[in-house]
Amino acid sequence: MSEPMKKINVEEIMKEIREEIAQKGYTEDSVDYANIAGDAKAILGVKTDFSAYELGHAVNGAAGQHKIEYYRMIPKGGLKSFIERSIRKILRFMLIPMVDQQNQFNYQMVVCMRQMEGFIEEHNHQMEQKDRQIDALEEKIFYLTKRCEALEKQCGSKEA
Amino acid sequence: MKVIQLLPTLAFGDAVGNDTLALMQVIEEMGYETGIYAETIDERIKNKNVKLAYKVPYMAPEDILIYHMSIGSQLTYEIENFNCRKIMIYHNVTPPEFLAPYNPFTAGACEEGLKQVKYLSDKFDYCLADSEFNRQDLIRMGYTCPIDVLPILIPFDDYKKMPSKRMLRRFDDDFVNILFTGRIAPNKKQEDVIKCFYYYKKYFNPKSRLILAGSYYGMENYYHSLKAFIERLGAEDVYFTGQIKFNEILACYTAADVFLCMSEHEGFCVPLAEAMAFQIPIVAYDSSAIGWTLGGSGILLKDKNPLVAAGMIHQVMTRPGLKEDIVSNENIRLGDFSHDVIRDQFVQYLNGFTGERK
Repeated sequence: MSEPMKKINVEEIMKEIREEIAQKGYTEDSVDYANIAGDAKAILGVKTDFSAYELGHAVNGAAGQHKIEYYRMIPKGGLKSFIERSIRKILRFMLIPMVDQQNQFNYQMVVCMRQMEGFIEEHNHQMEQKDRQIDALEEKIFYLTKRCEALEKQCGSKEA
Repeated sequence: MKVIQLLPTLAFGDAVGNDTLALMQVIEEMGYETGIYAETIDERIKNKNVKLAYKVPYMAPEDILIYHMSIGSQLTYEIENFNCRKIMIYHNVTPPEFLAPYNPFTAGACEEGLKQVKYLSDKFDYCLADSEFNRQDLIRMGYTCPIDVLPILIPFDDYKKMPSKRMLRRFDDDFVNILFTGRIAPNKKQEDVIKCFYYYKKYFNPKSRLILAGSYYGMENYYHSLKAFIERLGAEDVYFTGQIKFNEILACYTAADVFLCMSEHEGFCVPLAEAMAFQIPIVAYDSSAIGWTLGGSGILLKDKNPLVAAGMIHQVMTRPGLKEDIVSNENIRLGDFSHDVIRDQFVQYLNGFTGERK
């Protein structure tokens, strides 16, 4: 048997919080989410901030589900099932080429997205390398500037 | 005897998918012939017993079909044609009214899903619900078969992996980190989480930040509304992570000081159990399955006053012993969700159903 839970007097704590709020005069702002939410248009595909991981997740999701199965499950048994399975057989000649075409399109789209993902990754990698080079150069410039200043000071004091 | 599981989509890494795969292992251990059948299977799931729905074998009257219900699908209408014993595992369907203003397509799928749950009310011999809330939901929709509660099997061992150091560096400082994890979705009421955090930062602790970890995929309109709300409030230090890697989620939990949940519809709420596993005190609004999942642990708020919720976060962080007491209670509740406990419960329920009660 597990040990009993510790008693926490939530109501008492809430009462103290309410008293503190009243005492210190804390108030709620007038900004209401309901007024802002009303602005949102109910459409799909709104532009969002770029996230490489979100892109990868969506591409993996699409890749994982790109192949459509035309063959739908119909459990065996009964007249209804027999008719449904017969219809499925009759429609094969039409459904298979349609689904194949769609699958081919889906496949190409996934390849296309993978290419774009790869391009972005490659680009990001190059940018990171450039950033590191810039960091190193900036550090070098910083130390060289310091050395120059020190040398200028030395020269100045010798001339004096 | 065969015990197979059927569901519309077997997705990679989501709660229903994980639950289905974990249950298959248990069924296998029980010595039954088993398999998972789905209309759509993520290609990242490699398992010889996971097959497309049309490959469902012949089911004899003594065999058992377990159907996972969480969204609308045409598959639902095929259930009655199976001449075997049937069990439904009900994960709940998000009420469409939450989603309609932001994504009519998903709202439509949920509306259809709810219709199908009602349609299935007399098609099953037995139901398992993720929570007491889900059980009541089924009863309300006219289910008269026996219904038991079986929480989702959560792979807690995965949470012992190394958290992302990059993410930890970002959040692990002297700020109080308030965390909410889960999809950015209107039923989860992230706007209320933001409001509570705003008052906490304004009145109680300026050195604090809010981390909203979760994908906004498909809910871009809602995400933009939240961003506009933050701007209008003038709230600072609110971070949306978007969809992140698993080790980054682990880092968010590791860095978190308080888990704040204002959701208004949850069938179970896995993030609450995750927060418990990371010893994070939970402050949550009492709605849907949340009270049941907390099971007397955490701090359950009966109303949604954001000032009071902010004050409660302050109390949790400053009141001597309170945080420790909450975490201690959460550890007790977490025991109810351990893999062994849930597995034993499932075995007991299945044996009870098949008449082999041990």
